[in-house]
Amino acid sequence: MSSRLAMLLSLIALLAAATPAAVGHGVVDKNGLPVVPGFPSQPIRLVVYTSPGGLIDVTARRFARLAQEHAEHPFAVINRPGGGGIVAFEEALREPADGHRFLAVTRSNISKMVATGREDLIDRLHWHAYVMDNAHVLITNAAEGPADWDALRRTPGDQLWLGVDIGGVKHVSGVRMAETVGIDMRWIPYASGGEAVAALLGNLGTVYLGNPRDAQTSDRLRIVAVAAEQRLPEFPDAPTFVELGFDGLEDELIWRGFAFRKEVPEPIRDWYTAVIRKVLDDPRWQEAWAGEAVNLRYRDAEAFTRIVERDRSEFRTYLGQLGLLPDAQESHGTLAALGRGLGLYGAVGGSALMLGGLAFMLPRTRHRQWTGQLLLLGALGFATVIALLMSIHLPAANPIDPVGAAGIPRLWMLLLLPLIVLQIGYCLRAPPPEPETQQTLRLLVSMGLFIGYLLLLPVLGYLPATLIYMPTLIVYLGYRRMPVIAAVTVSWLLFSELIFQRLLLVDLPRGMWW
Amino acid sequence: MLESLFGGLGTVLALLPLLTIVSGIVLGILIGAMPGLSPSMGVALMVPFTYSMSPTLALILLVGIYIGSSYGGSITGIMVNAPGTPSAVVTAIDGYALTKKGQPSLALGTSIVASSFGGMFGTLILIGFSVPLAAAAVRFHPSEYFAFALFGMATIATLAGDNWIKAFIAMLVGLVLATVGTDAMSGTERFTFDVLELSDGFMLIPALIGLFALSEVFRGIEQGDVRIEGSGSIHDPWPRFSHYWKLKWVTLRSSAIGTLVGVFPGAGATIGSFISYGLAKRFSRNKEAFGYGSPEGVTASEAADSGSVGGAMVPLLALGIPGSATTAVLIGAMMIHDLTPGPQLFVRNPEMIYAIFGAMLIAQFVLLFVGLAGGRLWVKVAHIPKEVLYVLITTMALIGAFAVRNAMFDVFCCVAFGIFGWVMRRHGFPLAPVILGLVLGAIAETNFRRAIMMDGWEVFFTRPVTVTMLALALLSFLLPFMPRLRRRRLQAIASDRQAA
Repeated sequence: MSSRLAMLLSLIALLAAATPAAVGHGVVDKNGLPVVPGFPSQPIRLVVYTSPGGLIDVTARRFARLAQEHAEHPFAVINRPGGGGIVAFEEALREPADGHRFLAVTRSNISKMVATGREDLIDRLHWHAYVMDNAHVLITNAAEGPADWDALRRTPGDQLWLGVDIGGVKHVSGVRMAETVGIDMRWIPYASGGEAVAALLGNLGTVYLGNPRDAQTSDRLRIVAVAAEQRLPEFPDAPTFVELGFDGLEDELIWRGFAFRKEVPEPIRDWYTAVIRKVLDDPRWQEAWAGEAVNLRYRDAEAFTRIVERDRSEFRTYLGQLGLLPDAQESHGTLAALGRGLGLYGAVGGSALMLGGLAFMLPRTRHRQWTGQLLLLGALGFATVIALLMSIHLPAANPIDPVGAAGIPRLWMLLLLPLIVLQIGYCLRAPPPEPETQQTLRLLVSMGLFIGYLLLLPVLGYLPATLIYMPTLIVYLGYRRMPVIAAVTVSWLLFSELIFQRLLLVDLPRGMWW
Repeated sequence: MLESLFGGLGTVLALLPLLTIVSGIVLGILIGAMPGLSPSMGVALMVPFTYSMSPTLALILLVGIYIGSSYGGSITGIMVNAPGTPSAVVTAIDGYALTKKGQPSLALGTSIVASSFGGMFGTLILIGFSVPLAAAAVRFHPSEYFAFALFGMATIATLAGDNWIKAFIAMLVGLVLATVGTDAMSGTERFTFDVLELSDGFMLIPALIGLFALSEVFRGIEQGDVRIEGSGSIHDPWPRFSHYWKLKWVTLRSSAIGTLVGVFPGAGATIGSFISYGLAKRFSRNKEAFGYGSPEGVTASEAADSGSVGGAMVPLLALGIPGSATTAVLIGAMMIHDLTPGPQLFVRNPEMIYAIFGAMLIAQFVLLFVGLAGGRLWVKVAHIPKEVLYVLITTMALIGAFAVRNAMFDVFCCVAFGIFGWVMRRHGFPLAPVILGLVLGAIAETNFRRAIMMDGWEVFFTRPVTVTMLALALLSFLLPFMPRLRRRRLQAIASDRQAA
């Protein structure tokens, strides 16, 4: 789908929005969905902000499977991991507001946006539908660790609470829970819930804070407290915090829902509302979630937005207390100033100047045969020193994390620097290497063509840019059999379009017109 | 259990399941061979195609893709030095060297047989010992994961060859690059220059494609290398049984290492491949051939890589915990098909578990057959004019890097890594240690800090398993240097005597 066509379609959709007769009087299609002229005109992409696997990915895939049936239109789940959702949201905001791309969102996204100072994204998205949530629970290894709540509270000293993501929604929940019930805990973040559960099974921590379904992993795991108003039907023996005498933790949960660009026209939003309602009412959707302690409850955009705002304010407070807001994380002082802002630019500029000087001088010395390697080592050395300077403004080590964020990078850099010096010394002492026969100009032109091709992509799009690039470089490299070149180029373009774009729905770079 | 296993085999020995296995393996090989499509992405892309299938058939297809793609990554590594997966980097070291010597058939044949055997070994271990292995794996303290990562890094001593300084520089560059992004233990952004796309660090796939595939293209163009060395003049027959028989011990040892490493959640196939490559070189009678086209090197890496598939399935089936990125997707696929992964599967759906076991066993034979048949086709890549091949590789690199997140940023990172790799290669710096550092850096750092956060510094001296593993890692670092030091001492003594 070209972006021009997409723009045209969104224009049509906007016109449709301005023509109440088209959709405003309950015109529905055979599936009972509001008719929106020209929409949907291409597969709908449901964007998940994590890698494949995981609960939000499963939610999106279960939803897409049923939505596809109800709308009789393809729904494809695509994964755009990065930045806790920010990469996916940025991409969605760059796409045309034609409604063909919507986002699977969770409460974690709000904490991430607050923690990274990207709250603007919250305001730029339309929080369309809240579809489910599940309570956070505390799970213990009942076979080897505390078997119930009383045993957990009696566990002496700092407890190790296993979880994921520093500054994430579960971490904040953990802090609130520990504060409310008066337990001293250390949060031990793992890369995934699975790894944390494995550690709990190995009795490496006191408790794991997660979703109720995590407790189903093994008979040895037991939920000792639930952050909900009422007990979960799937775990009738697990008490709630309220029953245990602690109020105020009933909303410690993770919600999941859908969002898209604010600019998506109202009729398309209504179309989505209808599809979402159909899926939520589908008995297969309810069966799929049965037994997983999930509350399937729908909230419309207005209610959802209120929840998002409440969460934003709560995360601001707690992340501030934890020192995890962007301003609080940086060290200050004269030395730290060298690693950022003007100091950093100065260091980079100075290094570039020195490298330039070396590049000018070295070919005029008896070490000219080593010029390339010495420049490489020099560049690595300067980059390492700059990174060392930058590491000064990273948060300092503390009693909980005695190594700190800067410890390991500095260790690697301090090991790297002497080796660079050693290798430079070797180059200066060793006899010059045999010169190789090289076609440097040929390479530089080829690299230039390749980089030119990459720069053309956002302008022309993948297909036209590749159509120009492939034959040009092949011919430049010296291959002149035109029929073969044409066959290879066309076959590759067809392969890319059919296999990647159409079959696997791996989007190819789009240009301004294509 | 044997009865159930035969039942499972009976279930899959029907036309539809067999066709599903073949389709899974073929698709998997093609996915793995495309730089940019990792096994986890490949399995995820195919999940929607399983909606209309029965859960058993769906899982058979997805497991087939997992097995096929774990092998497929080595094909492009061997043929064009563009490993499709991080673990195939190790295969490419000797595999591509063999191709350059005009022996791609030898490399491909060795790789497919080792891969198939490793997969078979891993599956048998999965069937026989999944429960005790999973129980042992969960007891691994972060300090032991750290020791594991160090053990993997110790391979550097093996990869170093003559110039250990360059190899160490390359690995440390990888380790420094691995620290870019959000620090998992404090939530702080490190060295990202406020670039959003760097908040999760450098994506491994674009880095891999750039460092290996693009740098190879740049180097080839620069050297005017348009023909494979010795192509057409060297006899390159498909290996015979005796060739594989000679490699039996390295195959067996590497399969065991790959399987065991795969069992530990988060450790991954790459560590297994590097460790088994290092050990293969250490125990080899022909150490000098490693890095220059050693079939033992190809075998070590491939057997470990495929063995890790069975290993990674252990925590998935025994505990419902993903052992790798791909098994995380398989768990998702199970849930989509309304199955609860974990021990309850053995109780509620035993016939399905044994059908999966049966399918995994049969899939290894299918892999062998398809791989051997397809290998003759892959060899023809060597006959494509290099001018055309180079251009195709650059466009493949573009799609591969772009497909990871639909971001041109990743494409530019890929090109930057390509130029960096070309410069490194030009000056004799090995590239595999950069990937070693990139992959193991995060594992080493997070587990080191997590271990200290949990139990203090003393944990590295008080846990017997940690102490033993750290000692082994240290020995692995030092042992390869011993003969060199001895040789130098002898030379010094000899020159003293001469002088006297």
